[in-house]
Parts: sequence; C-alpha cells; structure tokens
Amino acid sequence: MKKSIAVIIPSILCLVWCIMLSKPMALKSVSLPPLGKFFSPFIGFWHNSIEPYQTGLDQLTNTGVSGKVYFDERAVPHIQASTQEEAYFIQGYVHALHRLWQMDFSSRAAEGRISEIIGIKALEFDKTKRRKGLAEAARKSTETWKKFPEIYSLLEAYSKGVNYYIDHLSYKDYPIEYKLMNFSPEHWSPYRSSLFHKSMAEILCGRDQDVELSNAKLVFGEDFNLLFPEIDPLTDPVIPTGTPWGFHLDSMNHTIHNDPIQQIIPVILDSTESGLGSNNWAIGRNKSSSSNPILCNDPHLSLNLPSVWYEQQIITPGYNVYGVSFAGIPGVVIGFNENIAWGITNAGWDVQDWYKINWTDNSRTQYYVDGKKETISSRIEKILVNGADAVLDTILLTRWGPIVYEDKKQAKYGLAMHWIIQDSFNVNELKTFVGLNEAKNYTDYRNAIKNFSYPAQNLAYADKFGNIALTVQGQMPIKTLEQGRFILDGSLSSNIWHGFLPSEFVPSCLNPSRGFISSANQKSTANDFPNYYNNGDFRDARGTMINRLLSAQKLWSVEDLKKLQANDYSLLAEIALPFLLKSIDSTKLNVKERYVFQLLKNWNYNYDANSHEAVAFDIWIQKLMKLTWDEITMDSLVKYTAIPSEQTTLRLMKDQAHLKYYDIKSTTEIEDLNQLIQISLDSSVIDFNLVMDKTWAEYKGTHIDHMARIPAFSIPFIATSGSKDIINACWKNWGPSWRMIVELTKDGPKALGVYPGGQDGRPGNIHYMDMVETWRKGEYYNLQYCRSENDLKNISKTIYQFE
Amino acid sequence: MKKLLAFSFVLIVLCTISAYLFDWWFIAVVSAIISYWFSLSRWTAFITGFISIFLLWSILSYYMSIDSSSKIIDMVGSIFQNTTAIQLSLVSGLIGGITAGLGSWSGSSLKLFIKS
Repeated sequence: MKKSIAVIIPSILCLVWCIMLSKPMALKSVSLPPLGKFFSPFIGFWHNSIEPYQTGLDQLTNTGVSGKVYFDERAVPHIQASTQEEAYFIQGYVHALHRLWQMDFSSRAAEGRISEIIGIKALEFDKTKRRKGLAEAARKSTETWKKFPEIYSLLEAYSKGVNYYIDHLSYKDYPIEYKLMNFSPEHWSPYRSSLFHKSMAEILCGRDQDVELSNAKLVFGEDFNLLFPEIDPLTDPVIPTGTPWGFHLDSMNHTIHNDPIQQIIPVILDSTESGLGSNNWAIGRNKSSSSNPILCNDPHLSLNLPSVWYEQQIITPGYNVYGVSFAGIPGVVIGFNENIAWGITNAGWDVQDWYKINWTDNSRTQYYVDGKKETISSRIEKILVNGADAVLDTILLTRWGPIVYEDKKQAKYGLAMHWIIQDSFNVNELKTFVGLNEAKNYTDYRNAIKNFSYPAQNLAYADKFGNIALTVQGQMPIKTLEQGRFILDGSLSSNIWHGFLPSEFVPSCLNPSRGFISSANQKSTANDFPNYYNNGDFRDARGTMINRLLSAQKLWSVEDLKKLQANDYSLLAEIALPFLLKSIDSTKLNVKERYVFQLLKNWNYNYDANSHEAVAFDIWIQKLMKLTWDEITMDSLVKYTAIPSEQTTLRLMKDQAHLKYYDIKSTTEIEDLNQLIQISLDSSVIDFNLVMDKTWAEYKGTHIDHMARIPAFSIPFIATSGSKDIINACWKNWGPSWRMIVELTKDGPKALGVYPGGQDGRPGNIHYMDMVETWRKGEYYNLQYCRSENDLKNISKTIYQFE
Repeated sequence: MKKLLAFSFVLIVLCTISAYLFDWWFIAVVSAIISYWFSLSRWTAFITGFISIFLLWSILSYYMSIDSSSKIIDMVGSIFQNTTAIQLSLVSGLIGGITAGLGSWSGSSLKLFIKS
C-alpha cells in the first residue's frame, strides 16, 4: 500500500502540474495564457523575438503562383507578378505575414465573435454587432460578389495567399497576441474580406444623431432650427457652389412623417466620439510651382497598433500601383500609378435611419403599418462564450430592419434601424479598387468608382495630363426634406427611402475654375442640390480653412503642401477669440486672470505641441459650453439630447446678444452674454492654474493603443500638435492615419508618405512602430516607386520568391 | 556521477527532440521513461531531472532573448509586472525544470515499485 502511494503521489503531482500549466489562468485581474507552452523556449513567446528579415533570397515552394516580393528598408513589399491573380495571392501572403492577428481579430470583431476568445466580458459587444447585422450583410454581399466572377477570382486568390501563410504556421510562429489570448488563426475567405468592408462602413457611415436630435427638438422647441442649422454659414462645400447638377428629382414632393416624440427617448445608440476627420486636395498645373498636378490625402482614423494602413507596391504587366491597403482587402485603396493618383475622405451622409415601431400589444409580435397588423420575424444568434455556456440572442426583424432599442418599461414601442448595409447593390466594391489601380485616365477613374456603394467617399483624383477631379461617390438614398433627420414614423409605409440616386448624378466636379479640388468631411454640396441628405458626420472648419489657404496662395510646391497637411491653425479660435476677449472687462481682472487674458491675446491660434495658449483656450471653451448649455447639462436627461456644436454656439454669441440660454441656471441672478463670458473665464482660470505647466501636447495626451488594448504593445503618450477641427486634426486617440503627397511628373510619379506605426504588425519587431517618430515630426519618407528590375534590386536586401 | 551525467545528457537530448514533435508537457513523459530506464533513486531523479531541464529551458530562453533586435521580450516582461529577460528565463527554467523533475520522480518511483 505504502509503496503504491509512493508511485501515485508524484504521478498525480505531475499530472496536476501539467494540467494547471496547460490552462489559462488569472493573476489578480490579468488573465494569463496557458503558461507551459507560453514559456517554452521551443514554441513559446521567446520565438516571437526571432529576426524575420534575413538578407538574401527566400524560396516559398508549392504556392501555385510565381512572383517575387522585394522588401525595402521599411519592410514595404514590392510585389512583382505576371498576372493580377498571382499579385493578389502574394498580397494576401504579405498581409498575413505582417498583419495576421489584426485582420483575423478585426473580422471576428465585425462578426460578433469576440466572446469566443475573451469570454463573457465581450458579450454586449458581440450582441451589438449582431443586432446591427454586419455578418448578415457580409454574407449577402459575398453572394452578390460571386456574380462578378472575374473579380471574385481575385478575392479567392487573395484568400489563398493568406491561407498559404496560415497553413505553414505552427503555434511557435503565431503572432504573440494569439499566444497571449490563447486562440488560433482561422482561414481567410472572400466573406471575411466583406466583413472588413462592413466594419469600415460601421466606422464611417454607421453614425447618426436621429434620436438625440428628436430629443433636442422636443427640448428646444421653436429654437431648434436656430441651434441646429442644416448647413452652417461657415461651410464651404466639397463641390464648389455654382456647379451645375444636370438633373432634378421629384422626391421633394413626397411627404414623409417624422415622428414628433412626446417624451425624451432615454437612449444613446451611438456613443463613438465624433470629430474624426480626413482631408484631401489636388492642385492643377496652374497652381503648382512645378506645373505638375499634385494630390494630397490624409485620412484621419483612430490611432492603433498595428496600424490601420499597410503600404505596398504591386507590379504586373498591366499596371504598376503604389499605395496603402487595408489588411483584409486586396488591392490598393489610396495611392497612385504611372498615370493617376487618388485619395479618399469620408462623405459623412446619414444613411442610418430609425423607425418607431408601435406594437399592437405587449407580446411584441405584431406592429402597425398603414393601419394593418404586420408580424415580425426573428433571427436567433448563437454566441459562443469562452469559459461559459453559449448565449442565444433573438433579434426581432421588422420591414425596416432589426429592432435595436426597445422601451422595456412601457413595452409600447421599439426602434428599428434601417442602415444602408441592409440594402443590396448589384456591384462588387472591390471592382472600384481593382479599377483605380489600373486606371489610366479620368474615364477609367469614373468607371471604377461607380462600383462603390458605401461608405460614401470624397474621391479626389489627379492625373499626369493635368486633370483634377472630385466625386462624392456612394449610394445616396433619395429622401424628402428632413427625412431621416429625426426618428421616422414606422407605421407609415411611405416613410421608406425612395430608392437611390443614379450614379451619374452623384456630386462631382472636374477641373473647377479655382484650380484645385478639396474635401474635409464637410457637406458635399450647397443647399441647391436636388436631393436631400443630412448630417451623419459633417465637419465644416477644416474644409473652409483648406479652401481659404489654397485660394490665397498662387503657386504651391511640395514643401508648401507638407506644411499645409501639418497646419495647426484654428479657424474657430480666429473667429471666436477676439470677440470673447472684447467682451471681457480687463480692468476688473485679478493677476491670474490677467495673465491668461494676455496669454490668449497674444496667441497666434496655432495648436502647436508646446503651446500653453491652446490649453487655456480649450479649457475656456469647454467651460463656456458647459455654462451656456447648463439647462441641458444640469438635467439628468442631458446625455440623451444633442447639444449645439461649439461652432454654432460661438457664432450665435457673436450674432445674437440676447438668448435665454446665456443665463446660468445655478445662480439666482439672470446673467447676460458678457457676464456669462466673464464667469466662464474666471472659472476656467482656476482650472488652467492646475495645469499651467503643461504644454498642449501634454494636456491633450495623444496615445496610440494596441488594438486589443494591451498596454505593453501600446504607446501611452506621444507629443503631437494639432486638435479637433483643424487641418492637422490630431486628437487623443485619432489623427492623420496616412499622409501622402503625390506629384505626377512626366517622368512618373514622385511621392511622399508616412503613417503612425510600422509595416510589421508583430509587436516588438523593428518595423512595429518605426515610422511613428517621423510621423510625429511631420516628416515623410520618399516612397520607392520602382519601375524596373534594377530599381527593385537596389532597394531590397530581403527577397521572397514564390514558386 | 557518470550515470547521472548520462541520464542528464539523454534527458536533455530527448526533451529537445520531443519539443519539436509533441506538446510541451511531453517532457514529463520523456523524463518518466528515461528515469525508469536509468533506475535512479527518487530524490536523485527529481533533482537531476529538474536541474537538467531547468538549465536547458532557461539558458535557451535567455539565449533567444539576447540574439534579437526585437523588443518583444521587454514587452512581455512588462505584462508580467516588469520582469527582466533574466527573470523570465528563470521562470521558463522553473516551469520546464519542475515538469521534468516531477516526471523523473514518477518514473523512478514506478521502477522501484515494480522492482520490489
């Protein structure tokens, strides 16, 4: 007995130890991966330190394609292949090589499958994605894409390239995030590329204020139109005012019924911070000091590691294109070739509308449409949860779309969402990029982009022949005046969108007389456009500023344009600050207040990294906003009500000396505008004194987070200039995600570019964040546009050969 | 002594090979089989098994951390409350060492049991 115990004890100990180290565990609040394999020097994290770039030729066999990749000194792949399919196979391979975890994780996120990996804490996240129906839309799009076999085969080739990489991996080669989060890569497919497209749609056209504005209309009553103008007087639209539209619609004759609400709807359906912005512009020969057209683009997105963009060159016998792509989608999204250059910014139309559903009774199975009862259908989503049982979520579907919000207390109504991604368009969006990559002229460009359905984009164009153009491309719902600005009555079938604008009518301009085109997320057109569209996320100040500067200077060089992309000048401060300071009686200020007053008086309105003035101004404006709208902010329902923008508030203060909102609620007196401004300054000086040693960069605190918010893989602080609503729109966690300048010379394109990250998304790698400092300083890299075998050999030490 | 060195040598070689073929915990099985074969006393088996694989795992780990331009080891260190590369190597060593030690102990115990 004793002897057998002597055998059993160590065996059990050994077994328990091995099982313990084979399971994930938690240390305080940190969840740890299975430590045995994680720490093994043979397969564990130690392997992630292996140097990936060996000098010389690396042969990849049995790929089924032939071609080469030349990696330059920033690990930008220059792909050379004899057919487009082969090129896309190789692009899939290099995307996976550098960004596998990123593309895999983001497509799972869009699908609502994160609980599968990290457990119950992601359940709400997954539920939201599934209610919005991203995966459902991706499945539908994939079916449509199949109708275009010549393009679908490219998506398949791309997927094969990704999968070739995945199939040659074992645990030891997995990116570190897989090891930490304890899951494995999944095979790629065109469906997953489509998921990525839907997640971009969510970021760029999944935004609206319909509920908040409905609440605001209730709260502000007759002042609503004053406080929330459809188009701000500051706006200088994307397509120059006066451009003929060449069509008219009778949609304005339809009547629609917004549903005036009786009480505040206590819900926020979109909590993402607004203010993301992007710029693009192109100057024609007459504005260019070299007489070459120049195109610039800096899309602003959330700042993450691995970076959202991926740089590459693709050379096939048919074309030679350079630019940035999304890991997950084949082709180049922003870039240039021998003949043309193009860039994008978000158009910002509201293409997500809400319909109030009136239930027939508490069972919530039927609702009224045109006085008749209609029965809902449902979709059951099974969400797998790591470490717990699967969760079933029933999604109720109406004729408008899924019910995303239900009034649980009263069970009287629900809000159904109609979002553009639920509509089917007979196009393959990829055709846009395939077409642009090989486009030779303006006609090719227009033909390519008409395949782009959503998120609508301001597509800037320039070619070496001297043409410049801008098209606001996307499916624009045909709407009646104010349709979809507020919650719509879901019991009237006539409240449906009246189809979509034919693609030849989308707002566009070619070679405008002012000599340049530009866009910066402002309203696409002046109010005379024959179709109604409203604000999903329009920004005005940047566009106006860009146009002012481009108009003012006669000739522009590449050096000037670099400075323009980094321009930190605030139009809002220029408009508001002199007026605000004039309202202050400087003789009554104490020492500290006078210091701030003088500081601001001498400010040049630039949000420089080391500015103190910008800090003081920012604090003052926040205080002023808070005190002005205190009738809303003091109320517990504030968060459900839209508040007038800073831009509108400051303009009103200049234009209207007497508004009841200037009174400060918490005081017994009735304040006027001057008192409000004075009190806001006094109170902001107190706050400013607490941070007065901080520069603007320190106060703002820009940071670049790892996508899974792992602090070790993130940059906690980076000293940047810039702010919201200025050309260099760089905020806490978003900013210029790719800066590009392309000059189209007779001898081929000359281009500069930079983004805040690095090509190789594997944390710790030398190319994980090697471009960040260059980006921070507002500097650029010369993009190595290779045109011959010799060029390729000159820029590269590491070459992969596919056989 | 010679026997111990031979045991240690065989253990290190076979554990290395098994790492490329099987799951990480297979070193416990390998250690058990070899210590059974070598007929060591329990205590000696544990200690020798532990030391051999502790050295293999920790030295190999540390070697991989110095032979690289990558910053990943420092990053992982900061996840584990700012541990250094040396400390992380020691943790690796302990994990491998204890696994092999327990395996060796089990193998030698089984041999003694069967012999008696």
